[in-house]
Amino acid sequence: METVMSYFMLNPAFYIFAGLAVILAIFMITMPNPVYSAIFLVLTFFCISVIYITLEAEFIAAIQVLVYTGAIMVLFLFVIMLLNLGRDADLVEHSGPMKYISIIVAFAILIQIGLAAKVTVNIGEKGMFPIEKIREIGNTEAIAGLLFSDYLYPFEIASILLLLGMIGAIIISKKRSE
Amino acid sequence: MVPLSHYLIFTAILFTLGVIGVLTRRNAIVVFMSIELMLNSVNLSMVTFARFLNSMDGQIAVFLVMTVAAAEVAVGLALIVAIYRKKETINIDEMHIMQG
Amino acid sequence: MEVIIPDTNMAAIMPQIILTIGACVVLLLSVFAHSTRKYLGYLSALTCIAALANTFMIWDINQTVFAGMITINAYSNAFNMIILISATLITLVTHDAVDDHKVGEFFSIVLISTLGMMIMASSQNLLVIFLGLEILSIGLYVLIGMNRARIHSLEAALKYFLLGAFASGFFLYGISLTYGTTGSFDLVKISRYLQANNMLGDPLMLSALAMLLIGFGFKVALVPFHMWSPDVYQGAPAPITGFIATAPKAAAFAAFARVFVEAFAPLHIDWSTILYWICIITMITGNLLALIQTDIKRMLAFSSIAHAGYIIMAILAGPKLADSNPGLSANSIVFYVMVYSLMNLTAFSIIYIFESREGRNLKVENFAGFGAKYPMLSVGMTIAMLSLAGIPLTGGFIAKLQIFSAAIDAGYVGLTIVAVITALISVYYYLNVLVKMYFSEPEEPLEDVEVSKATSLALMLSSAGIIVLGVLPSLMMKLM
Repeated sequence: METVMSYFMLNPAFYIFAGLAVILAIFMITMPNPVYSAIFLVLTFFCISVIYITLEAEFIAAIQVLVYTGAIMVLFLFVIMLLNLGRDADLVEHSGPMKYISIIVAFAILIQIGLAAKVTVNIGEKGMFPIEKIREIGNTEAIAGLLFSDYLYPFEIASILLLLGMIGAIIISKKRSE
Repeated sequence: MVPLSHYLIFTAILFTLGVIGVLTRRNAIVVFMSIELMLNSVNLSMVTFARFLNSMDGQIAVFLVMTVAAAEVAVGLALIVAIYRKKETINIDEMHIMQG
Repeated sequence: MEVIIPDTNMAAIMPQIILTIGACVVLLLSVFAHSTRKYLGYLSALTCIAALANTFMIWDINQTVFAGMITINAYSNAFNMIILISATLITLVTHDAVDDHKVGEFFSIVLISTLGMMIMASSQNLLVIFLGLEILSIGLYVLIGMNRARIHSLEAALKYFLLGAFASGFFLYGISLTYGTTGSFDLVKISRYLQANNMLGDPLMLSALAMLLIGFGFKVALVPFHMWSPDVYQGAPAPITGFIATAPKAAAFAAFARVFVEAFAPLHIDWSTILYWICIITMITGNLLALIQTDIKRMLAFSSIAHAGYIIMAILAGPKLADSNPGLSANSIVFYVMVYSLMNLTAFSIIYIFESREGRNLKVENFAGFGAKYPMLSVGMTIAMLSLAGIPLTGGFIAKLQIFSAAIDAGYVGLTIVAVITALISVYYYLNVLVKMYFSEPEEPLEDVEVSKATSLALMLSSAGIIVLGVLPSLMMKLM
């Protein structure tokens, strides 16, 4: 009990929001109505954003809220509303014995990674950005500096990806004009 | 500082919940949301590693993964809408092109 | 904080730039110049050919540019060549296959996903490999689902999409864990770190390897991650199926081999056991399930699963041959993927020609009497089937021979025996198509079928390629 408390006191925000995120995620995958699922997922994303702040990644925390909850989840909610998926007939889901097998498989993954994380002592080569340096130059500026130098190429590629997403979404969803 | 393993176990739990969601749910939109949950847990693990490795690369990766997720969501939801218009359902058990 | 722009050698990524510009031009022309729509297919083919020519110009430059993101050398260029040849042939075959009002989007997406494949094949960085993978996958989801009139296509697209995104999640987790254990996304740095530190049996590294295997296994359709492939092959329009079956697999194998054979070579003991069994199951399941298929596209889907199993043999052998015969594994993968692409393109293009006439999916028995009625197309189909079966004098034979000899050199004798037995089984279902074509009478009289000049050119080139590679394999070897 002592150790649990001492861990908790290290950074209460992490443990509170991590616990909350797990509970909300469980609600999200069990709610029959997709609207509730979406709302719970939004809340989960908020909790994750707080955890980014405990890791001192302020920029990522901000775009987590902006992009995931602000854009992506709104899109999900739009589609759910558009299709009017809240009707009872849509809520019926049958899943047979596969369900239990898949839960076992998933827990095998969890145990594997969990044990790995627990016993691991190795962590790779240290980089050039200790937290003091990031605090000094600022999180956003550090990301921007790398994005336009070392990561210039993936940055450009990402723009092509967005173009593709745009063309794709339009061509699939637009009603035929002719 | 909270130990690394606590962060990793937390991301593993979220990832597993996402996997369970994908495997057990039949509603295409909820399946898709579970996939988003998986991607988020991966993002969290990247930022965690970045913090513990004194490196910035993980955060850049998250930035790029979010771009990918946005493009993927746009196309995926468009597909779901198109299917719903045709079939009036998005239950993935009703998708049976598949014989044999 | 000062920003230092890295070494940006535009010449090294010129083929990629050409494709990007081509995609934008095609898209804009289809909007603003309606009269050009008929020729956009040819324009895309020309773009691919220009990129191909450029690839040959930078064949041997051996440079790593953009801060280690992209490596251009003979190995990556060989895969780029295969991808571009497939894209050229596909654009020629489909040049008149698309509705007029979607033709611009169709070809620009084909070009952009080709670009994604090239990025995947030439990248040196796990993150960029992931981005390339996503570009090609999203492009393919759209291409499959584009024809909204066919509910089958939409369902296939959704199925491919959900499973693909699911697998991407695993792949990304693998990348993240690799980053955590080694400290970098850069394959060269990862390789250096793994050589300097003994990471064998490190639990986090093992999880990373497993996750990456799931991601790649899904992309190249290894058993047990193959469930998507028969349904998608069957549901997608035939020329797109030809595209899915060839170029993305070339890209995925390029990245697969680069990650596992080059970067993870020090961990060979860790990943080879599991990959060994996956390889055996893939070869057996693919070939046995192909035996019982009636739909020709499903049959070819299972056959391509089996072929993926053969290529895995070369990946398994790679690290073991690193000292004795370093080029053998990479060369045999390149050669196999080249031949594999040509024969599948030929087969799927011909199936597409018949399908568009019949307006439905073809069963193997529907091929009855084709030999007498369509002699030229049947010759193409015959060459493709013989090569898929690995009959001597075709490229398929030499390709299998090389893979098997690499595997035996590396000491995988048991694996090779399984491979040879399954290859013999496969001869049955390939020849079955030929028997139906030449020795069966059609139930109803067959109608004429029209083949455009561009399509027949593409077919002639690809079937000639299969024969040339079978008779003069040294042509291809010289490139490497």
